[in-house]
Amino acid sequence: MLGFLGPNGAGKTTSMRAVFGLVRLDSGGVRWRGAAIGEAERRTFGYLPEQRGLYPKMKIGEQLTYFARLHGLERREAESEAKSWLERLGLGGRFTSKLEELSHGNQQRVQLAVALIHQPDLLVLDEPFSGLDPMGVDEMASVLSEQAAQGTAVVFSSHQLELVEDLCDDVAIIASGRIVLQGEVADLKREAPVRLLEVGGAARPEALDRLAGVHHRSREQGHERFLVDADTDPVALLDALGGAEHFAFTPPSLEDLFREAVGNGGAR
Amino acid sequence: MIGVVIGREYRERVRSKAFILATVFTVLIFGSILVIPSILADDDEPTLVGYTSEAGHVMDVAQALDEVQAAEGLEDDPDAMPELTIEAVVLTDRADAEQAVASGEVDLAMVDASTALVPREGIFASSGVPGVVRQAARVVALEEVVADTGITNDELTEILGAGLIEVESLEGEAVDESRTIIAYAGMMLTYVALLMYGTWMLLGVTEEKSSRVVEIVVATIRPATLLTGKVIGIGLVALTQLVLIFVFMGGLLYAMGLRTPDDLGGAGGGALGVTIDDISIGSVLMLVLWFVVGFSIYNVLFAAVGSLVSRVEDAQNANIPLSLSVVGSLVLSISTLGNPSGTVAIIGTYIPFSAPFVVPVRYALGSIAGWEILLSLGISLVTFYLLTRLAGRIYEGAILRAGGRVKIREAWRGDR
Repeated sequence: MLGFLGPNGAGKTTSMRAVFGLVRLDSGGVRWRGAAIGEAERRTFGYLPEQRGLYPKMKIGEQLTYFARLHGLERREAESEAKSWLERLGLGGRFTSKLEELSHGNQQRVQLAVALIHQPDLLVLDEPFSGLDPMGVDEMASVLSEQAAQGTAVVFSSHQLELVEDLCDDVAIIASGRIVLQGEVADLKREAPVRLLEVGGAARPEALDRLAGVHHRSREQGHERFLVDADTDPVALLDALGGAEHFAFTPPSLEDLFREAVGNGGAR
Repeated sequence: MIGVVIGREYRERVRSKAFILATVFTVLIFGSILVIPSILADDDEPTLVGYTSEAGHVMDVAQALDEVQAAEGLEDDPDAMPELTIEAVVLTDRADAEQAVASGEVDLAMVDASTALVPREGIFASSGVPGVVRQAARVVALEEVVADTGITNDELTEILGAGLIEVESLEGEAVDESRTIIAYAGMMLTYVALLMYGTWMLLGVTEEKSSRVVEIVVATIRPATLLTGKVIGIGLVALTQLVLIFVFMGGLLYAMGLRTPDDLGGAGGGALGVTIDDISIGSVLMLVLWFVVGFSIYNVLFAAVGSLVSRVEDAQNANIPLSLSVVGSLVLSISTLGNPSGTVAIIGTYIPFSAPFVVPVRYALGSIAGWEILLSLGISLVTFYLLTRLAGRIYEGAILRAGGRVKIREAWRGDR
């Protein structure tokens, strides 16, 4: 599972649409398993676009069947898949309801089912968590985890970085259309040039300001937060503080990495 | 994949209320055009003419004349015989006659050879008396004059009853009225269907764009596949409707034909002068062929227009030039109806946008040569091919461009 991150306007949606041939590329190309993507490959992809949309007046069961068949399923298989997906989404009795008769949340569920019904090899989701309530977020997260566990390559974009940190093994961060940071989340954290230092109840917190390699300071929930160079010795820091009730020396969060990467990307 | 698209378009639309209503209404309208005049002109019941013994001879002659005219086939000719079968009722005297007329037992009573009794004036259009009775009265009057000349009454009846004038025309048969009606009906059918299904196409494309569903569809199949599938799918819906209408009309005409098998003069389709024999398979096939051609040409364009706008409300405005072209073609073909071999008709035959209207009209009127049809068809097919390239490119360029109206030039360049 790959989290695809970047500030607004960085080109996330454009990149995702490029996978489906929905934008004409000025240069470069999109490759899947080492080859250029054609119609046959796209049939094995699933797509949840940022701008959701299905046929408003079409019955949802037939709608699912239609999209399953567009992706190459036989009619009977498509129909039974449509039924079982609706059951799963708690819409079992509503095969013949029109999409426009459903609540917004249920329409979102149908939209997700459209992306998943043909068991895609690659699942691309543009902001799948936006507009969902906390239960909806949990549901979406579990569906994505399940897909990834089945061996589906899942790529999604999101601004909810904690969620991305929980769900994703890999992230790619883009800014102004270029990748500024990519790799496994764990590696990125370990290799980050900074560490996060959180201190509470220290005797001389202001002492750190005078130390070289200490970059950033903020207060959060009664704790002082610093970014310090990764090669700083934590014991020396603790000595300088003259002891503390709370002392945490950890790799930075994904959000810190994101700010760092995007900030640098902008400066370059 | 295109089969899946065609299937969706077809199923969704054939089941729609709009389709069912449109089909029912068309059948009702065309059906009533056929049926209502025949109900109004329903003169199956014979005219009952009562007569007293004083008028007995006149009625004998009237019936003899009636037989002669039937043998000459003049009864079908409205100029010769506006009235229908006469049934004679014997009455005793004037009082009886008055009573019979007043009670409606008879439509008219001949009191004597020169006096007719009717309930009120103006019932029989021109003379107050059925023509055949009037003629009979003349024959009776002549009988006395020619009594000494050796001409028998039978000879007199024969001569007066027969239609003596044979008509020879210089330019062959005039345009048959029934053919005009068929041409007109076909033309209106084409017009209504082209506009209706064109609008469906237009709105269908715009709806896909405004609901954003086109994004997922085109993420899976090529835009050209979607476009072709839509044109074929909606085309099949239109053909289904045409076939339903033709089958219904055919059945109706057939049923009306059965009602009066040997004389359609007054009843059934005959009221309009159209019989099932007149609606030849050729005319129907020509209509269907050209409908398919016209539908294809127009609907590719309707789709291109639909792809340029993002909102259904804008679609109708954007559509005005195309609708006007359909209406203009109708006007051309109405003019063709009046003069099927005139300049307008010939020009209309070779403009691919009006040919689907004009050619079937000229064919139904029997005033188009085979090579003209082929040439026109060739021009139309070449146009169709060019249009699919042109409109297809606009469609592909515009369908994914959200927001506002896309300029044709931008769509053509395809910057998405």
